[in-house]
Amino acid sequence: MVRRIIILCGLLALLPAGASAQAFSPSKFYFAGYLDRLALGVDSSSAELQPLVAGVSAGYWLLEGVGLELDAGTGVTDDSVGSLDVDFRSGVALSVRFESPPAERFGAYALFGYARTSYRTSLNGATSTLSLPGGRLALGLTYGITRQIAVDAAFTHHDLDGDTRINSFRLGVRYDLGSRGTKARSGRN
Amino acid sequence: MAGLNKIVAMLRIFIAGLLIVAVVACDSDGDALQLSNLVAIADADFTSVEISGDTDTVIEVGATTSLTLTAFSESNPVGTTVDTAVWSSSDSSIATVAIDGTVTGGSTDGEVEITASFGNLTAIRSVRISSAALVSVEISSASSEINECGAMQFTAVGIFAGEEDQPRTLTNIVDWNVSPGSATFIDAESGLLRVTSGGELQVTATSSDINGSRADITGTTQVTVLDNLLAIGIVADAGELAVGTPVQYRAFPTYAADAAGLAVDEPEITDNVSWSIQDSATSGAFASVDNTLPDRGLVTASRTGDGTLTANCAGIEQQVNIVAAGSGLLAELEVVPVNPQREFPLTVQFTGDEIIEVFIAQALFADQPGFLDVTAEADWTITAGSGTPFELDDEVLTINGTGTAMITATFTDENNNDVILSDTVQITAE
Repeated sequence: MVRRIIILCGLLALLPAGASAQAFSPSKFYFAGYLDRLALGVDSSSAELQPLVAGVSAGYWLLEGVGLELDAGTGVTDDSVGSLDVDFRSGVALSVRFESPPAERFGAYALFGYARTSYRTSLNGATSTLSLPGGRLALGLTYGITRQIAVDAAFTHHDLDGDTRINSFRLGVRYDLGSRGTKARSGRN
Repeated sequence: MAGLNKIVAMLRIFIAGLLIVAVVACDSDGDALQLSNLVAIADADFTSVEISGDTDTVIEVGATTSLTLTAFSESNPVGTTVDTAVWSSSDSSIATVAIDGTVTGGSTDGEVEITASFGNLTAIRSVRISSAALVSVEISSASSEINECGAMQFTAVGIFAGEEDQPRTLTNIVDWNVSPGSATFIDAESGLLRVTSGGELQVTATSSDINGSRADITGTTQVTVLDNLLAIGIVADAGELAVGTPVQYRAFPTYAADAAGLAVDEPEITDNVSWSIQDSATSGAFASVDNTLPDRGLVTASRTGDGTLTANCAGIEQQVNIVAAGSGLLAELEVVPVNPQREFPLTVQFTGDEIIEVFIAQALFADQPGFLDVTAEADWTITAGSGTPFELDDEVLTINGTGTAMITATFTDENNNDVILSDTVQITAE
């Protein structure tokens, strides 16, 4: 655990260094709200849990097309398999976003990051809280409605230990405070 | 220069992102396994678990024993072995347990509780580690005599210094051997002896040294194989042997009365006899019989035919006739035109333009309600006089003049003793 924290702190320190070519500006922040439909499965069973998650994220454009963002979400609906009820409690993720310049309002992006999701399970009266940390990779598309507002859709895969797997489909809306992408999105209305 | 700096910066960020994924991908947290097990329990409706092992729960210092966890549900009282249990030892200085349930005794005597968790289901088993020295291995069996072509289970117990009143079962730990080895077989792990012919045998069970502190210790016993097999009876599990559907044949012995006047009818000796099949036809075998465990005596027919199944043991032989019926006997083959308005014998009017006629070969099988299209599997041939304007390419006939031709389709049912049927139709171009 300590080793992981040290490495992550080192990596976070690396990111601003990489972005030092551009000065800090509040207008480089962006925010998003989204709904995430999870598909949680295990290799030992064909059953799949599909809780719905609502979340928000905040990000900062380190460079043009490169952002660092923090996600947080909580479950809207739970799901069950037989007598097992699984409730998505919370999830946080720290990711680096690589986004292409928009073409005809569309942009493609990839997220690399770390996510930790927390679940409460209940089986035959026995409850427990489980935490699933792991790497996260997302591939998505954005569609610019205005210069600052874009619809955001993505497929996300969580890389977990053991035979548990989580994939999700996310749909949300992103709001850029302003300065980011003015040149890159010159094709917009 | 500014552009180069930007590229370098982006690369650094990209590498940082990849490193984050790489680092957290190594993050080990048992909660993922716990969730997986909970889903498996709920999906199969497991209600209880139990630890089972193939040995006593007293093991020597440094020795190992394998434990398994079995999960049960109301619909599955036999149980399912759990591969994803989480194992733990109450005192790892006395004994450790690996992720596969293998318990290894430490260097200290004592007793530990081995816990296996599967989701929210838990089972506990006590294991005692003892440094008491193994003094001897004793072999026992139900009898000192074994029927010809029979089987007998041997067990081994270990006597330990200072614990003579607590013999430990070593049956599945020792190495089993039998001599002479010809016409006999003993499972090296389970101690199950199978014999064919009579004579005197010596059965040994050896406990190999574990810690380098003692020599191997071997127990020995003598067993007599009686010369008492009179006859073998063969019984099939199913009444009819069909192509592609294996049938288990079983062998049962009839023994002579023993010295005490007891007539003995032993359980089946299917696994001890030698099985063979003689095909009544000269070309190729229509069926085979398995002589390996656990499928010994299993007959599989690859085609229709008949022959003799033989069970042989200690010079006693029994034969039964076996007949393999086809799963779909070929009954009829006919050639029909693709154009439903055509009828055979077919007459077409040649007006100077090329005419193309296409045919279908269809077969009727005894177990099928209607005809099946075998056009692609059929062999197509044409008989026409020299110089006649007919050209046949499989089921497609091209006509470039007037004349008469005979078209033949031949179908070979490879699943039915190569039964061959053919149908011939006549085509006339005027």
